[in-house]
Amino acid sequence: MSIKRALRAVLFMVLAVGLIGCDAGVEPQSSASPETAFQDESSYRAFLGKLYGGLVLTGQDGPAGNPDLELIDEGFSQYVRAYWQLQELPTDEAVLAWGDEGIQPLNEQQWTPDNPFVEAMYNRIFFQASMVNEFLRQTTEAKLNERGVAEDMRQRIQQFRAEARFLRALSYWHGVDLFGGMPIVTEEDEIGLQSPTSNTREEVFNFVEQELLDIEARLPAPGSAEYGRADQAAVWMVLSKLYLNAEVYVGEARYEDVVTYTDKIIGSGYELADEYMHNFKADNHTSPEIIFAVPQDGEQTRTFGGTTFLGHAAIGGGTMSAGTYGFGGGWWGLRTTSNVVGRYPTDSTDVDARAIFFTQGQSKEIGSLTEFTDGYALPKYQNITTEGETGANSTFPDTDYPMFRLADAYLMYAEAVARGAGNGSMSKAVGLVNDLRERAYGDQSGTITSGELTPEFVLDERSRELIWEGHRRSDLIRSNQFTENGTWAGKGGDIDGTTTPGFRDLYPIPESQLQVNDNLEQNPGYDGS
Amino acid sequence: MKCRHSILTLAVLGLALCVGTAHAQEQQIRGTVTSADDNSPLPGANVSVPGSTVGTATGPQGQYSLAVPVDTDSLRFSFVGFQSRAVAIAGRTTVDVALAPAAQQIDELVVVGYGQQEQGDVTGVVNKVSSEDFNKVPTVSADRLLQGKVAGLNIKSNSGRPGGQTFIRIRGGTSINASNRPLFVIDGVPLNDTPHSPGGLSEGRNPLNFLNPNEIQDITVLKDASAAAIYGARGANGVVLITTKQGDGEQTRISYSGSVSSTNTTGTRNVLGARQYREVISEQFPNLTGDLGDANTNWQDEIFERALGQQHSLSFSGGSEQGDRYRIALGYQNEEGVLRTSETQRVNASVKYNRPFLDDRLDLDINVRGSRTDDQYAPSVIETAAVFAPTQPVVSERNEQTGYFEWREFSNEAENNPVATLDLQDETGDTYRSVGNFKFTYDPAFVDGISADVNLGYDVSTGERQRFIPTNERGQVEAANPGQVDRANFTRFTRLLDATLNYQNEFEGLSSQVDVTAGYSYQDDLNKFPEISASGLSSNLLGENSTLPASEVNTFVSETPSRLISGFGRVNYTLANKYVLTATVRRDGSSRFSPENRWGTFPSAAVAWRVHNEDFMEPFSETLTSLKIRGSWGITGNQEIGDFQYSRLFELSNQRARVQFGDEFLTTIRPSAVDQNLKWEETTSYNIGADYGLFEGRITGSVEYYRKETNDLLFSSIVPAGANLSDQVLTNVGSVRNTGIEFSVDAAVYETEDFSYNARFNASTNDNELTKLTNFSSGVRTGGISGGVGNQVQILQEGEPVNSFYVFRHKTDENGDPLTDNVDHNGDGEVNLADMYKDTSGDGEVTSEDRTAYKSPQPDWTFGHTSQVRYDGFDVSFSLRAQLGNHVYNNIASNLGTYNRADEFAPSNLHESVLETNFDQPQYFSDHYVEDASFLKMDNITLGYSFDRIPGVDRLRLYGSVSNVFVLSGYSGPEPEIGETSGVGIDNDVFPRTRTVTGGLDVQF
Repeated sequence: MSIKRALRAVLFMVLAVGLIGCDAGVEPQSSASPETAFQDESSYRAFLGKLYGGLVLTGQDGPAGNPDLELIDEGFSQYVRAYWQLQELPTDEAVLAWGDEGIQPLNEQQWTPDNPFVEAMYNRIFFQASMVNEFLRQTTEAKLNERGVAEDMRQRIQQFRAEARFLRALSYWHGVDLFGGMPIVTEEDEIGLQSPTSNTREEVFNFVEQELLDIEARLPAPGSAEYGRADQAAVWMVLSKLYLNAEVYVGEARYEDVVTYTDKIIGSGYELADEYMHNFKADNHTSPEIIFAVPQDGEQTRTFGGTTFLGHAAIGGGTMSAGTYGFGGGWWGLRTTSNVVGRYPTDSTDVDARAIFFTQGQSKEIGSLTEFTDGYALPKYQNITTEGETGANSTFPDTDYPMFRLADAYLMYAEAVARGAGNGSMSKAVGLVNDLRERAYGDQSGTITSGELTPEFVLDERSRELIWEGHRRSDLIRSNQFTENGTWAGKGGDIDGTTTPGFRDLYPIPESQLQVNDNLEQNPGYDGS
Repeated sequence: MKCRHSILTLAVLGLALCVGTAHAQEQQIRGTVTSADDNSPLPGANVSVPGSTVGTATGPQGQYSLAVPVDTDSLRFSFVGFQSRAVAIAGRTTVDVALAPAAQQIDELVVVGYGQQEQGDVTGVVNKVSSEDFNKVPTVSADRLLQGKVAGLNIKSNSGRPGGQTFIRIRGGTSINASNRPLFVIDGVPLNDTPHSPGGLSEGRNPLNFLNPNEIQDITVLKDASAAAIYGARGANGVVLITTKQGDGEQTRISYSGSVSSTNTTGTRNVLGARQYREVISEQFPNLTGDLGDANTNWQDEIFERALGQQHSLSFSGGSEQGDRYRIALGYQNEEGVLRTSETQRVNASVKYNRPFLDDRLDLDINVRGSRTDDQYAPSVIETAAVFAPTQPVVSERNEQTGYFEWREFSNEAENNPVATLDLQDETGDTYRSVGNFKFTYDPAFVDGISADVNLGYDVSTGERQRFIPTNERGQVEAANPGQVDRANFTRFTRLLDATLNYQNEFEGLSSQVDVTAGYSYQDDLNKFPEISASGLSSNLLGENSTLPASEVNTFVSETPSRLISGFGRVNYTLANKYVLTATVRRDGSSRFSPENRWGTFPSAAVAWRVHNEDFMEPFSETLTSLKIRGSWGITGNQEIGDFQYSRLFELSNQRARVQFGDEFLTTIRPSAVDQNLKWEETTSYNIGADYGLFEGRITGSVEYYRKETNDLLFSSIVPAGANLSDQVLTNVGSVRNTGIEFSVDAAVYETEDFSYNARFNASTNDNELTKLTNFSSGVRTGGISGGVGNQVQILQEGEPVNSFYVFRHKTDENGDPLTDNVDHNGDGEVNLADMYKDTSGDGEVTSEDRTAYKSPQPDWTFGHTSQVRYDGFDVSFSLRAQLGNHVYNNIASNLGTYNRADEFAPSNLHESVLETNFDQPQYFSDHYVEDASFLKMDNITLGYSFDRIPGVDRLRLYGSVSNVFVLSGYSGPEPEIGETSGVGIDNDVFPRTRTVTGGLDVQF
């Protein structure tokens, strides 16, 4: 045989191969690569939309599909739902009947570091932070220059960037409240799998404060932002919340700062809605009282969290008609405890319009946390408009989640004054509280005097006014009533309620995070569990 | 080419083994077969008529006598260790033949990746199953032909779904997030084998359904890395090579095979009967008695029915003196499912043509097959039928919209009437698929032993899935936009170019033979999935075409390309006919990984020692005919993770996930969370084995020991919060190890002209262990179940088998029954977990921490047995299969076997286990529901009779068979062997056990 000829044949084949090529790369067709995504300038706004969307949606397909987070059932992973559950279930305001892993320990303040809902909230916070960081990386001066973005677009992007930072600060405020210290990740960090270093609670507090102060001027004036987007009043709300709880967060009372910022909000043009319930109905986007809403829509913004959860889960039992509240059915889940009922003059709206209990077929006292009929139902979030029209869809309500509303600012002002803020006015504080009570009572029969305006009163009034709006846990901790003091059904694993150790004022760092990030340290009290 | 002739020999041999009787209008041919070497007679040599079943074996002196049809023009002679020959009869009645010894003594050819090898040269673990050994059951998909036939090959199916998916594992699963399915290659074309299940619709059917099982010549399973490494980044789960039948002689032959079958359910869910249910409800829930109803309905009987099936195959084959060979086949198959309305129907056609040119130096093979499959899908109502109250009627006048009984007293969470769902929903699919190739083989005149191959292949499938749910179906009535239409198109196109050079030569002076192959492969895939869904139908008139009357129409388009470019080579070197060395290497470039990690190299090496060729074995040669000891090592990859998992893509939101900015609803974009350094999983395999042949090959078999270590396991891993764009990204963490032993024996126990008994037996064990899962020291939950949201009963934990059950250990009473709930068993004044469950951690408390890994869904041992008996014209065969140590979580019992389930929504039926456990609340995480599902099954039994002496008919065989004849198992559910669509080893929404009776005939002219 001839080696030469064989070689020639091989050469021929190699040539043939060369003609076909050795490039094994392909380009995506139905999604965009980072190189192409911003060729269309509308992508900047679409990306900003995702940052807001992170509060209401769970993935790129509504109501579920192509999820943002993978570790938990998609509906459970929704921001408002996860936040609400951690803020309400361990308190006297709400119990949830379901047996899903991790729910009863929330009712009972018996959670462990592997609780899936605790993990979901922690991950939601960082999902928001990571998305914001990527948005900031994609909108640097250098990137905009590189892509030749036009000047008017650049102006708008500057505001987008401020809004993005607002959303990151909002989530870190939730973080500092729920978990204490945690890693602060910013646009300076790279995306990958490296473990971020951790920061103390004080550092997170300072970061949130600095960010908010820094962006305050770059956001639209109160009331001038598009609905669903943040304005300066929203920044002031987070600042007020931060300062109101500063004693808990960093051991330093900042009540005068609360007065400063709530005063700005109160004078910014937002007004109380005429009807209390307007804030929780399918047309609550028309309420003049809502400062920052997380909008839902029966057609276009569908989720299994948010008011879909709050609306359905509050309906059940034998006699409650879901249709009355604009829903197709109930999920037999949420009720409230007798402690809450006792704070109202009666258990119906006859006197106080905020006592929206459903009592028929429900017992006032809770014998079993898992029986829907134990405890009064509370159909607060409704998929019907103030005119009585049902929302566009009976499963996915049009009702927006009112994250911040003016009444909360009133009560923060009042509380700061009651706690001794020297720059506040007692008469103004009493007036604000009475404005709320007049709306609730329909007349002045419920008004209070300055002598009655104590921190304890405000705590109760906040529960009456803001029940099931995701504030209760923080409010109780501020008054040291969450763990070591105060009892209600199920607390501490006892159906009659018992006190719990103070370390439960903070949630544990999720077990899964401790495993992947050596820089983290478990919060005190949870090490042994 | 030599190879090709040998294939023909094989085909003929195979047929000759089946039947060996004389025909009418025939002549007697006699003669003697001797060895060309020393003129010694060759007893036991095969003599056959090519392309027919006529054949015999030579006697002690090498003599034979065979009645052949008068028009027979040649005879084929073959004998183990000798080269086969075809000899023209040329009018003679005595045909003496001398056979030349083959270069190797075991010369059966097997298909290996990119070529063929003689059995004796094979150093890897390569198991071939020929068509005559296939399971003789009517099946829609070809993979079920192999069930129980190959040691270490596990095939599971959800048997009741016509044409449903199968779950195939070769030597255990190597992966968790990537696919565990072996690569399927048909006539050299790798198949796009992922089932397509568009969102929201029923799971897709088995992608192999396009292939008519009757057209398969043989199936070869490449089990170890030495054999599979030539497939590089796709070889880690083994490779299944399917070779289809081709024309096998000049003579024109027509064959037909047809069968009809009937399938029944033989075991359904153990839920309460109406009378029993009434008693339980009146006792436990007196408040519900008013809602009981007075009917007696067995809902499972209402949804299942006898299913009929039929299949017909017709083939023509033949050729010309110039060497053309053709085969044309047509097929039709229709199979109903036992779940009413489900059905699959297939029409297929194939043409295979080969022809030599240029004095046989250029061979052209053309191979085109196409099929159309029409599927009717039944909605998933099996679980609902188990749950629905047995005291309510199927139809009711109170429902004016459809006439079916539906709950209206309770919230919309109450179950829908399963019969109504079945009758009102309409879901269909049609699939057109064609797979084919054009192959040119050129033997240049200027170099001996060299040949070049170019293979151009394609695999294209396209079709549409459709579903229509009318506005009056209960789920729709209460929906915001009643009435729904979903349509999902799909087009998948694979283009393939393979070019290989082969060089074979024997260097007698060096006692050496070499066989070298080098090649290049280019494969390009494009998947297109445009989908549309519409709801809010103002009219049901147009059925699945109701997009005009729809108030809402949503669309979705996905299009993903991928590419794989490879170079590969193999050297096979044989020294002194005793020592064989094989080395292969493949280099793959895959678009699924970033440019930095795109290319990978996959080597393998193997040695074999043909012990029986050693002189010292001479004294044992009468008993130990052959013995080959093998050892192999190799690295293979797994890249089946989907496309662009490494690339940070910006994905748009759909029309239900928009964000409100003012009055505008904004479509958002989201960058995906990825690990840009992603690479493929690598499996390093070791195999030690031996092939043996006893008593002149009457008993053959092999023994294997293997160990597969998979590293860089692709797993959706938890992200340190803040480091990436989600809480999980797919990345390379962890390792899995599979070790096992396999044993097989095939025995021609008894063989004479009119009676023979053949038996095959195999046994295998696979030990699967997750050896490392970085960052998950306390494990990762898996195994979602029905009941609650997000409940999971399995775990991935280091040191345990993948998907071990993760449960509490239930305390038992003196009778061994689990303690019931809501009782203070331990008398501590509290009713809590500690009353029922053991404190496994020993910390004095019972919490979720006390759940432990417990048992695995994977079997410890798997056995397969086939017996074939032939007496005169009769043939009987049966297959048995057994698994030991496989566990199943009875999710139907855990979900429905609690009293509180009865009044959770509307009154609903209960699993009968509640009468024993008396659980009020679901005990999802109790080990009580993890049951040993070891089983022994008779997969099928067949009785056939072959007629001879029918004028003009070469062969006629009538047969009857029963499949799923019996199951012996201690498992309390109806079917111990369950598929994996609802999780591995989790029994819910699983089809009941079925039994199929088939009658059929095969005829050849």
